Amino acid sequence: MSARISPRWLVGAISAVGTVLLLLVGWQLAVWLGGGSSYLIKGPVDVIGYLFTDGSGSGSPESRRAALLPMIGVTLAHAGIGLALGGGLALLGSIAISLSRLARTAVLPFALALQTVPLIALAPVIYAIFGAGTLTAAVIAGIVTFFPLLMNVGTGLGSASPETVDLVHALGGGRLQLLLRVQLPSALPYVFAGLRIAAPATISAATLYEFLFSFEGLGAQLLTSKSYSNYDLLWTLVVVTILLALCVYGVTTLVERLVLAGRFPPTSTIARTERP
Amino acid sequence: MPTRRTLRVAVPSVLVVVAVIGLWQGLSVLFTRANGSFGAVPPPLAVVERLGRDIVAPGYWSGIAATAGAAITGYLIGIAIAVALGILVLMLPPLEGFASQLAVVAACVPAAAISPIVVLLTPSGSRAVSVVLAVLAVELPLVVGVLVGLRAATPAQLDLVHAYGGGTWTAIRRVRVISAIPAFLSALRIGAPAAFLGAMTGEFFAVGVDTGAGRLLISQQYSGDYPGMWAVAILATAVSALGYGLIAIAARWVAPWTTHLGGLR
Repeated sequence: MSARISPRWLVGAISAVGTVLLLLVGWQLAVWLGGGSSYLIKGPVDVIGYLFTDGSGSGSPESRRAALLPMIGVTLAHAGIGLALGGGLALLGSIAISLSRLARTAVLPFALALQTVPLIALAPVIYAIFGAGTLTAAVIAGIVTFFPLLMNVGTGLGSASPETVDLVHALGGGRLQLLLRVQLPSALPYVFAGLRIAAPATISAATLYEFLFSFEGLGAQLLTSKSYSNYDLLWTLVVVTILLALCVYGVTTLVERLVLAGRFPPTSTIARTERP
Repeated sequence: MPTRRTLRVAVPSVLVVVAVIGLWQGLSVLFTRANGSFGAVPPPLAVVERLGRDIVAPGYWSGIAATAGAAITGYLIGIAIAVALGILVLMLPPLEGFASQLAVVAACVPAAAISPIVVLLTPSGSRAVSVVLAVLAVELPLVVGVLVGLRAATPAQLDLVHAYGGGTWTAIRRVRVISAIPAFLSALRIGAPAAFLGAMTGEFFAVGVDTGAGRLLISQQYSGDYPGMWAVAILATAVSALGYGLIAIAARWVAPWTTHLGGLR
């Protein structure tokens, strides 16, 4: 592979955009050649028209774009709160696991077992417990963050080399020093590896919450546009929601590259989380 | 006699189970209404009792089987796509980045975004949403499993094939496919519960579908049947775990040399 070209991430970014464009072209071709109802089935061209050029029908492109922004904001807020909640708890949990053998033997089997629980599909149970509101959104979005991060950060905290640990002890550093100076920094690649999966998943979880239980955000609007047979808006919302999740993935990858640049060997040699 | 090592693992685990059940019982008291009816967190005993009644009801199992059927369909389609991408990458290695990006896109696509479209394009009563969500849920682990697996052969192993006059095809057949098996099997294991999760989530969106674990949860939510919801949650978990376990056992049987690898996952 052309992985040795110096600004590697630039190549990665270009090929990622290329993949998305390829999918869009494939979709448009499927619309043109598929011969389905043009009332129900829209292509990228229709979506671009709806958002930018087509003034016919209800509203102008400007007003349509303006209406989308608050929805994106609500969804981002739901996802962000969930990410903070799940990420914070995962950090605390993995520190506890790394500090205490008791916590490790007690918690780890459950964390592993919980990975087979279809937690997101149990959203109605979560809703029954936490009721309508931001808290439920945060819990549902937090769940998809918590588990990938717990396992990754837990592994990352244990990844410091024995020599570095010895060095901290030899210089008189205590447990806290070890955690702050060595373990947390060496866990960073693992944190990002977990975040790359978790961050876009929070968008998915937030929109699922909105679709099922709420009247605000992209998820809820997807439902209403469909019930009002506003298919232009429906397909536009689908594109916006998917692109939002992909952007979150892209931003996470970008931040990862910026934070880790020059500090660690290439991520592929250490943390690999798009597990197995 | 249990060894000290088993005890060191078993005792804290048992303590945690006891603590969780205790906490659950305590919470259920808080959620129970003044008239004695159960709230969102019913007591453990009520859930177990309900589970006992549900397990023997045939209607229940046909619902869960319908969900599992959609999950298995999606799982198989997902495997076919991942293997096809793997073959593509074997033939054209530069496409590796493209294959993993496709998988990332599949993993990023929010269920709430793709489901209305699938429902729109399929007839009422179709379980296609469940199948599509199951495919999307398994694609990333499977593709990564295939790609990691294809990279698992060491250069020395490949050199050996070539030194003995074997061509690319022999190398693929004798070395690369065999060395790809462990990573692929562990991806298959992770995929099984993910497929069930996708199929269940799909039922929240499906139109004209009345049976299934997800549908059951929704209808119980509307009727406020909390012990029933918890019973479905436990059953769904059991089915997911069963899928994981069956694949793990099958993997051990098909490729016994992989058992020591990735034991925890």
